[in-house]
Amino acid sequence: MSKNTHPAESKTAMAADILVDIRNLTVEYVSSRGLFSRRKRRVRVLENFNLALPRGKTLGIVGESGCGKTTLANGISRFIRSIQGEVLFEGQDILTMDHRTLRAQRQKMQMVFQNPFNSLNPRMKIHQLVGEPLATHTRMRGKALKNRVGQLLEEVGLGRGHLRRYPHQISGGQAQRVVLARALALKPQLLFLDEPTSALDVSVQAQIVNLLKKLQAKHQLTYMFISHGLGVVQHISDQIAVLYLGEVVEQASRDDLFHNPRHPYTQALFASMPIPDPDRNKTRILLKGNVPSISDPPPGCRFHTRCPRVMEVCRKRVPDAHVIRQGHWARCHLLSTAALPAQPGNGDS
Amino acid sequence: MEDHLLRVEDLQVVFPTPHGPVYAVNRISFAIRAGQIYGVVGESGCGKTATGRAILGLIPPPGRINGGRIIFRGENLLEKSAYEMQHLRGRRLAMVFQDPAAALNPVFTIGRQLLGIMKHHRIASDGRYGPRAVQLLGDLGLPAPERIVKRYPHELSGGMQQRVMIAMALAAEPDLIIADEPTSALDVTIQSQILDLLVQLRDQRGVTIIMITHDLGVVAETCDEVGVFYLGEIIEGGTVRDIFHRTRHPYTRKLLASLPNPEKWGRELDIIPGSVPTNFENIKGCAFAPRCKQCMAICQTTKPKSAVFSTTHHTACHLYGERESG
Repeated sequence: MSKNTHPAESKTAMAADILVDIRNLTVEYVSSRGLFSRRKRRVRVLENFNLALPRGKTLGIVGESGCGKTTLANGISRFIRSIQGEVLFEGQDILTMDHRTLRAQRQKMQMVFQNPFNSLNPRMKIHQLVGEPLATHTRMRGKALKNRVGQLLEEVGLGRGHLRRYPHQISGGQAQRVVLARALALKPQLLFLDEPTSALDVSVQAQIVNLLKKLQAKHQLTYMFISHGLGVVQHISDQIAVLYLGEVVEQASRDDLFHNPRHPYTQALFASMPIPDPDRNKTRILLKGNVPSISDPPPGCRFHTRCPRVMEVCRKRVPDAHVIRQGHWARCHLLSTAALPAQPGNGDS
Repeated sequence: MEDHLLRVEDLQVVFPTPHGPVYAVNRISFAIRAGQIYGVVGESGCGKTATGRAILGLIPPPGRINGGRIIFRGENLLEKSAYEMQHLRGRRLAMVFQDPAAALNPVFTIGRQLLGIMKHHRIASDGRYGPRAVQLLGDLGLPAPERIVKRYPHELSGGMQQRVMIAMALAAEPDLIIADEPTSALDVTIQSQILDLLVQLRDQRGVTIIMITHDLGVVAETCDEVGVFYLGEIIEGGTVRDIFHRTRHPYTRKLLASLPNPEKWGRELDIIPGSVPTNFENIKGCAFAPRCKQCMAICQTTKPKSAVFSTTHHTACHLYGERESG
């Protein structure tokens, strides 16, 4: 890893209001090498990972499968033990707090997954599902509970008619609304949204995106929005971090990243996004090959095996993070001045 | 003179359920010229997969084809015997499925599965199947194809598996490939590789492709003509430009408007209220009427007829009256 100060660190220290500050987080999985082998293999999914979630905003996380998006969410909420680093939630380190405190803190962060039906017990009715977190974590009972459940459902756009239905009796979009109502029940501050619209029909996706925006404004929620669907991420996010094999390769405000993507991987991601306009002539940046396994990342720049602009240095040295402008940085050797091709106009006289 | 490779006329597919028959495909008609990529686009339950399976004669029982004709190379496939269909499948018609990991047999090597198809259809007169299999995999951009043939499906990545699926579809040099969500399970950078590959196959080998997808971006980038499906019906059909630039049906318009794009940042997305109905047996009029903002009295009671705008472009919507072409 680069020794110089991480730009994310210096920049976020300046930015006023950070809800979650992830510092040097390292998460690894241990798997056995074979069925009968006692030798263990360690897979570092995240290593010295830094990221900050600004309060009341949406941080979008994009990247391909196996890049560590979901591990990140699990690491922050301590569903997976991290071996090193800090996750400061309002200044308190999640990773070292005792279980009682952790349990209280976890109420402030909730998760929403891709397939709502996997998150809803098929044997419970909607009102039981939404009431469950309240009954578990609060003393709310009886009429007060019932009212709160009704109120939560109303907030996510469901009527009282849905109260007595089972998950299989509602549509995917409605089920995702129920999941949201459940997540909101304990008045969290942070929602991890892991591909929340990917399993939904196109016409329903927009409804959920609008709803998420509305809920965020109303409750000052902080979102970490994980998706491979760039269109939706861009629509909903204030800032976006691009992940490749467990590393943030570029981070910027939504507009900076869209108008001025600097990392070749970000550029390729944008270029491979299919655009619903047949007359839009665009230059595809075709990435060759497949995503290498995160258990055996390439040396040097992790992207060099697929990078269309790979140089000699990329195979050997890990690139530093270069600040492009405030709040926008990328980790690529192309951005270090030595590697830049001679600029036209910078005469050779 | 037959200039369409495939003509589907009035096709109806029905699945009997305890609550009565469900018409997954309800009297649809469309035609595809040789060398075209035809997009079948729509949301879940719109009948896109049932349409693809009907063409292959693979509607799972108790579902059945209730009527209509599927004219392929001048012959009605619905009059073919099961044996004849079996010969056509693979040889003339092939399918690429969404999830290659589920479609490939996990206990046989890639080579064995690929050779199986080639030998079954006896496509090499000299009997030299092995080199042909290796060459085909190489043509599809798989690195070290002579090693790939010895591998098992689980040893390959998702993108490589999908290339193998496409190789198997191409193995007997079919005229028509039905690709059912071929890239939905793949990452975006791999998706664009596979889409480019399919377009290339059309350009270089003249393969005709039916691209079944829910992704309007994929349609815009690959297809020549499109049928927009809603609840078992084609509510609008035309060239990609008809569909994207001269959009007529309120559903197609709304579908396009609900997609995020940079111009809508900071604003609410356009939405289609409600969701796709799962029980639509009692809809008498237009299937989209319950969700349509421009719904009129007639839409509730009468099924709209096809309004024709050009030789390619038509839509089933009462807003356009009954514009029959002469």
